[in-house]
Amino acid sequence: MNWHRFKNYKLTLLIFTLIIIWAIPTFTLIKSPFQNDLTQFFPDQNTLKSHYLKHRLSTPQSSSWLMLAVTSGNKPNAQEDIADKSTQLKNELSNLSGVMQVLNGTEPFESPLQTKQQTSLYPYRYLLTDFNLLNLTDDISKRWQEYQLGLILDKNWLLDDPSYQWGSYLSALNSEHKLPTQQGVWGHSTLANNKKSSTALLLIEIEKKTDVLNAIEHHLNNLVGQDGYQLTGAEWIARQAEKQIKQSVNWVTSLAILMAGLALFIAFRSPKLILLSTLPLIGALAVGTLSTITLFGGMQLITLALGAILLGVAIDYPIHTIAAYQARNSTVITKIWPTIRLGALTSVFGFLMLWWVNIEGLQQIAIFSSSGLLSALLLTHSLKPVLHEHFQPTESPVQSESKVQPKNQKNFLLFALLSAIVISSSLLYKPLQWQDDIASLSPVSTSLMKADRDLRALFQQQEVGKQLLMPTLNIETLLQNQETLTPYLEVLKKTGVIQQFQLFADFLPSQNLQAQRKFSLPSQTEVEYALQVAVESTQFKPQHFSTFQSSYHKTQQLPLLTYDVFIDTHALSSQLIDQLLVNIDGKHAGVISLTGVRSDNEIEEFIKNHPEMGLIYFNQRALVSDQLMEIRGKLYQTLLLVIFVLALSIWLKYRSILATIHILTPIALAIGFTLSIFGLLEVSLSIFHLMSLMLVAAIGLDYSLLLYQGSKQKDSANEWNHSVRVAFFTTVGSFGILSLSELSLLNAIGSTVLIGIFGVYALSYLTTKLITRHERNT
Amino acid sequence: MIIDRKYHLLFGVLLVLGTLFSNGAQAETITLENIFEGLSKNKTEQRTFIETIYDPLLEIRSTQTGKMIYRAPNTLEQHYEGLNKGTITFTDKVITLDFPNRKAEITTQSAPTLASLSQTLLDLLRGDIKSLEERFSVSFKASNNQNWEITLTPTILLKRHINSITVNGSKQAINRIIVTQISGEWRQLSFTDSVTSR
Repeated sequence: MNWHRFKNYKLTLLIFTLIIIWAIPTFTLIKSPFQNDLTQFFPDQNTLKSHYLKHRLSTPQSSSWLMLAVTSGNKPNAQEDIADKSTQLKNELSNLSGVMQVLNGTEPFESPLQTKQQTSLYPYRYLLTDFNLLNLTDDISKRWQEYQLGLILDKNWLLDDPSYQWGSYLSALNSEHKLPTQQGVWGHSTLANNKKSSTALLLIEIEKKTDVLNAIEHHLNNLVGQDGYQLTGAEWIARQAEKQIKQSVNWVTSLAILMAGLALFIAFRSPKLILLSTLPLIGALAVGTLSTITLFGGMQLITLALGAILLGVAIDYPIHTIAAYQARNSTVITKIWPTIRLGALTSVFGFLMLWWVNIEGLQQIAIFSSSGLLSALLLTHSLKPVLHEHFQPTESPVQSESKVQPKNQKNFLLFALLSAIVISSSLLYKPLQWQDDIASLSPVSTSLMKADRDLRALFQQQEVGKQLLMPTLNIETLLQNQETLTPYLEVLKKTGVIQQFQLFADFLPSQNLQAQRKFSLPSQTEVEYALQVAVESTQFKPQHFSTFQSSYHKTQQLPLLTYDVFIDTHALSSQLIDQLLVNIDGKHAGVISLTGVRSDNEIEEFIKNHPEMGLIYFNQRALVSDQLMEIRGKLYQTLLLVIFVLALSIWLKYRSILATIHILTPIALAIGFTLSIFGLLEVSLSIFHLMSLMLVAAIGLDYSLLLYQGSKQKDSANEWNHSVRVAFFTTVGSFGILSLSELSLLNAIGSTVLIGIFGVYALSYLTTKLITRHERNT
Repeated sequence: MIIDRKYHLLFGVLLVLGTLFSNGAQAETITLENIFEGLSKNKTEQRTFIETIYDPLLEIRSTQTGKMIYRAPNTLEQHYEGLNKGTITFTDKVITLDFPNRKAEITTQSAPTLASLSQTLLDLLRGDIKSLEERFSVSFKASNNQNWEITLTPTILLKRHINSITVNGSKQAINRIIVTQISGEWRQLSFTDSVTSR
């Protein structure tokens, strides 16, 4: 490359050099520039529920649980087979590095006298559980039976704790994992077509490392085969989704790029020009990312996904410019560039409006897309010397522009009105359906979601996000309130309103209850007498229980168990404590988790009946739905603001309301047309559809502006139309492929842009035709 | 004197007969293999048992009786009688308790000691010497009168709890099993009747 040629690339190279200089310190200083925190997209509501939702979704966990179901098929000895498999899997998976524990329902209680874990709470057992001396005879006769049958785990434990206080406390600790058993392992049977099949259920706790999942998958494939098991859990879903996305994105994007490349090749017939046309998009992505990270200290991955959709318009700027250069007419080039610039700047201002939504995630998108588009415009401008040298356009006399007469508007307005009526009627006939689930923000496929739902049902974990929040002043009040509430919750359980509940007071009784228990503990003499009576029907002798008597006596001398001491014992994992007790903005709140909720109304009614408790029903699904509805409302407002900004910019350029209507009507109608098609097809819309509509607006603005401006050219209208046509076919090629994807996210983007672009192109073209025909007629 | 002679004669006859039987027994010397081979042929077996436990620390000696039913290849039921009436069923994977005050299924994993014992019993009853040799060192002693004794000394898991398991039998029938624990306690299962098998 000689110096003259190099000079043409000077500005482009300077921009990319600056981008690199900017990127080095940004990625060096910011250790984790990309984050994945969905809560950044939730409106800032000042309720405990919304704070709790943010807390739930953003608190990092050191470990994660997987649910595994292994099916036996229809073998005659399926049940035994399942017990075998369950045991084998438990043993094999437990040995994998990164697997913390595997539970299958066979976990034995460990003697508190032989293990180090939980023993620090053991002396408090008479304060942690109810002790009734009247039951001692029954208890000791049970222990005698166990002793005779050889069922005891540790004889010293039996003699130290004959009423099994510690055992009943451990049962409460493990109540979260109570599942039906078959052949001693968690499992269930199903009968289909007279064939019985059994499924073993296992819970696996893993460290948050992806190679653990690889090892687990490898082992499962070897042990039970690919079709013999189902696995779910947050980590697994994330990994599978990533795999599916990679797979889908790889072929879909490759094909989309190929299609776009093919369209460009047909139009430009030059690899060099195709390469040049991609530079503004690359620069836009880089600058968008860097400005977001610099301004916010990091960038949400969802911002990248949503922002990248909006940057799709950036590919059109070089296409329009190159198409204009293809005319080799300097007048066309001189005239087309201000139109491209107007379109780009209007889109920049439009996207910048997202800043006023006051949701950090959307503010990030505003910065990402507007800075990206600005740099794409600048880079397109920087390519002009190269294009000039490549095409060497000739000078031609400046052409005059035709004017659209006011009387020509009648047919156009009639057409616009009719279209608006059709769209409105269609939307009234089939209103839009919105997908207000948290899943709508997730790129996880529906098949994976269904597998997750089915498996959660087996583990009785259908509704993970249903809880009662109990705000409180201090821990003691919380525990006392939970103890008061427990009998009422038991009634809910008995009447089938809920299947199970879990609260912090199950693990740590209030000081008040402990004091009561301590006060009502029978005297040493009463215990001695009861013991003498209790052993009569057995061969045990009172003196065998000397350790029981002395440890019982020690409990009477113990201070009450406080929250701080309890936490220090590590009897509960910090993860479980986080689930049962939250501290949000310095306020404590107890979390009572509910499973198998029959109806939300019954829970709301229950809360109404206990106003003194100050309970709040946290229903994650409903709350997320509310939050998404609010985001949607704000996006609607922003869309209106964007249209206002577009209208203002166009009016400022043309100083004509008529011109503004001409240009904006096809865009508005195309958006309405796209929405009504989704309504008729009963497609549930998500935030990705809305973002894609914003892209349609931005691309549509360029088309509409160029076609409108082109229609005013007396001789070179064809060159203007050509540039729109090339951009249109490129967009159809790439987004058409995306719309074929099975991945809901890509499908949403692809189909919205495809329908929208068809609409906007056809309507803009029709609008200009209506106007020009009238001109000829007049 | 006549009496003395008669006695001498009788003694002589007995001696000859004794020698004959002794030779016969030597001809059919009982071995570990043929005991286990015989045991492995049992399909169903029902025996009356007396279970005695002795705990030297608590000085408790307790006896229970009942019926034991073995169903080849992997089910053993112990039907207790008396005050502690109820049934324990052992299989390779699960121990099922069925008593009026207690019904439960315990996996062999969650009660390793008990499971190992039940596994040992099942291995003995189905004559699975290989399985026993995986967990015990096996020593065998036979006497001339077809009585024998097998001593199982745990080599792995059970080592922590069990000192040894001694099985006494005659020909191809088990007469008594004694489990001696590390703590000194022992549990003896004696079968009082002959084998009723099919």
